Amino acid sequence: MLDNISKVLPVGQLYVPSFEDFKDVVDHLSKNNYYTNHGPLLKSLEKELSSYLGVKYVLGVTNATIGLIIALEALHEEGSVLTPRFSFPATMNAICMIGANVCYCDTLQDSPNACLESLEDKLINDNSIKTILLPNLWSTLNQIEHIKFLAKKYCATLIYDSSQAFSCSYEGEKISINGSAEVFSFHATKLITSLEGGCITTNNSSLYEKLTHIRSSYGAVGNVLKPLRIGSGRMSELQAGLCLKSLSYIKRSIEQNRKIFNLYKELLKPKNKYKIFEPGSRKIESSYQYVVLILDQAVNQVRGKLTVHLNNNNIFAKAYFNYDFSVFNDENPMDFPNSIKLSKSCICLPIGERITPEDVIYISKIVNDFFDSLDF
Amino acid sequence: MVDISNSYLIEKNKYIGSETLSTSSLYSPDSTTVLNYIKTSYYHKQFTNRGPLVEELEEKLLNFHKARYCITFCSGFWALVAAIKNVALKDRKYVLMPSLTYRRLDDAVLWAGFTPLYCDIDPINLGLDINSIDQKYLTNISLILAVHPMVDCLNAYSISKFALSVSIPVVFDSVESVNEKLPEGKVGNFGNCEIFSLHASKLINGLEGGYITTNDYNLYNELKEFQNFSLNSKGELTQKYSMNAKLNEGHAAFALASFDELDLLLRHNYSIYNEYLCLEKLVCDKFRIRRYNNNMSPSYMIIVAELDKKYIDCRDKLIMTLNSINILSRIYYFPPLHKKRESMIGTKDLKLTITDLYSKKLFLLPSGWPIQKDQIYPIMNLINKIIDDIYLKKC
Ligand SMILES: Cc1ncc(COP(=O)(O)O)c(C=O)c1O
Ligand SMILES: Cc1ncc(COP(=O)(O)O)c(C=O)c1O
Repeated sequence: MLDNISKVLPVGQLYVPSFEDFKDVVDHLSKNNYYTNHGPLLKSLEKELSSYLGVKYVLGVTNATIGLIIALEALHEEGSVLTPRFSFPATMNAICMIGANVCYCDTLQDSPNACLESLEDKLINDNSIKTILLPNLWSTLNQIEHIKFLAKKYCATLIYDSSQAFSCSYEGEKISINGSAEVFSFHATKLITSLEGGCITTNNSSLYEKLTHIRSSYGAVGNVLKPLRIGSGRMSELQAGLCLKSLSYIKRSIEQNRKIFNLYKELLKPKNKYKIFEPGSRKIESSYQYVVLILDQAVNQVRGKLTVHLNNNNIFAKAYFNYDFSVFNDENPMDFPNSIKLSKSCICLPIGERITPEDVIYISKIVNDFFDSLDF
Repeated sequence: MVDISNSYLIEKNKYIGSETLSTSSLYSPDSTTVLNYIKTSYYHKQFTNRGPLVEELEEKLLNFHKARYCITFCSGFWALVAAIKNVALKDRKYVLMPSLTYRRLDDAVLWAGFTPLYCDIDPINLGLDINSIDQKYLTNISLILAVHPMVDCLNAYSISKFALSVSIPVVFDSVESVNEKLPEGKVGNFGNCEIFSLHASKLINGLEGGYITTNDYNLYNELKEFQNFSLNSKGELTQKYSMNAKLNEGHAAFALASFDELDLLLRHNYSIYNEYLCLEKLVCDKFRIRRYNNNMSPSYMIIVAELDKKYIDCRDKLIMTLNSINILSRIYYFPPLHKKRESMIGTKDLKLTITDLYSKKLFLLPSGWPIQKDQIYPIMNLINKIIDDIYLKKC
């Protein structure tokens, strides 16, 4: 246990391929002298991902933010893009990068998922909204069917930012086709990784052509008439090679996550001071990439203190996501009470490749002791 | 036609080799060096988000360019967008730029929210000619985007001086002039900032990547925030227009290894360029090789051929024929941007005489790390023959 004090415990997944795997990929590159521009490793990654996810088309990209930018550029015609006022900022950044307005809806209470009433309310009252960009956060999923219904009812294009939800399933099927396009991240802190990276998935062949066209000047396919802005979203052969390695042991990684998550559930003693967010449900099979505590209103003012306390013990817990989202639009924050509350009350604990059962025992004890010491 | 093509292919395979030849640098750094570098990232267990190799690379690059600050990017393209967005005057419309240039330059300008405005090029160096600027647009120009051409380079000093005199900022796209030393200083030190690419086809092979050099501390910080979701050092969001444009440690490892071995590549490039010059006599009635300025320490990376007037009409057919036998020669920047997307550009009444002239007569000969010196002679012979055949309408 003493060892833990000197060991840094990060929040990210960090299932990074081993040095030997890295060497393997580098040897492959030097042998083939193919480095980037949609090379053979990328093609094989896209093929494997498409069969893993059960989707027709997969495009590997530089990172998920660029994936979102490309997907929005291909799908959003004009007007505003609706998104919950709670996500990693990349979701909103991507909307701004294509030059569209960000328009917010609220989340549910104690869940990062979009609140259907708030979403519908916005769709009814703001007819500038043409696209909905929904993040599936914390390895859980939004209410897929209801949202599909609402998007159709109000003729809005639906895109999912599933950066935090790779390999989650809805009613037994891996997510990837619930919006017109869906975007995943392969950042080092995610379940599978190419260090930086990501992919876009779709079942629509003409959209695939358009996405390919915007992704890059090289390897454009088809004949896209609209004078699109072309970006740059190439994934190198090194990234693709590493991601293939990472994908090959995904089962083990998810199993590790599940074990760690369950151990936290067993050891943490919330005693009404917080909830451990449960990403799975009867319909949703999670990949458990996040352990999130949602502090009760009565104790949420101690989150800062808890974070510092954990950090002082080398536990790099994070308030995921405590940002001032009014940077992206000036709607009154008070209109989004659930999102605001969530921003103030959530804290993520370490889970992933580097976290052992001993670490969980260590972290849980510190968290339990912290709450026990509070005078409430 | 089929038969002739086939005979070219046979000749190519027999005398040049069966491999595909290209105009990309494709430097292959020593694998052991790459692996030695990446060990540092494994040791620190950090693979992106400004890891140890990214910092080391930035340090080496800023020393190389003798600039004050350097920041790496996931690609030259997004570095370009970042530079335009953060340097251009916000209340103006146009970005002034050349037309015969990198074919995604107009896209970068559009992503940054501005409109391209083209000016002509200087026939001597093929770069943007500030004397061709239409004065009536000056007050609506937000930025001068000056791109160093493939061979030779811009007079960065006089462009910077002009920009200063009209109070318009200037960004240099120095992707093709990484190694150059101008009389007034090294490339990397001019204008508000300079952007570079670490793509595999460029001088320093990081597989994918780019970087910006600047002497402006505020701009450096803005760029750093831009590439990291606008988060500042306190983890607060600072502006809505930003993204993820970070370079990962794997690409940094490749870039570092390639950078360490740069002298090897420069020597190789020079020997290839020199060989082309020696063999120019084989084709001297048809084309000449554009000269590098040896006093400016060029990288000799790209070999640009300029067709004689008589053979200009053969160019496109020549490129098609070469491509069909796995010699991936390219037209020098095609198409000129003002011909590409006329609905989206700033002016409809453009007279880019020099641009139009040079857009018809230039092409790139095979070059780069994979090319061997003894392949140049048969390449020149074959091209000579193909041009003759095209000219005489045999194929
Ligand atoms: C919800 C969400 N969207 C987008 C991103 C951006 O992903 P990337 O880092 O691959 O650009 C992230 C990354 O953490 C994320 O969590
Ligand atoms: C002149 C010029 N600028 C910018 C770029 C963009 O660089 P990258 O390919 O790294 O995005 C290129 C790439 O070919 C280029 O030639």
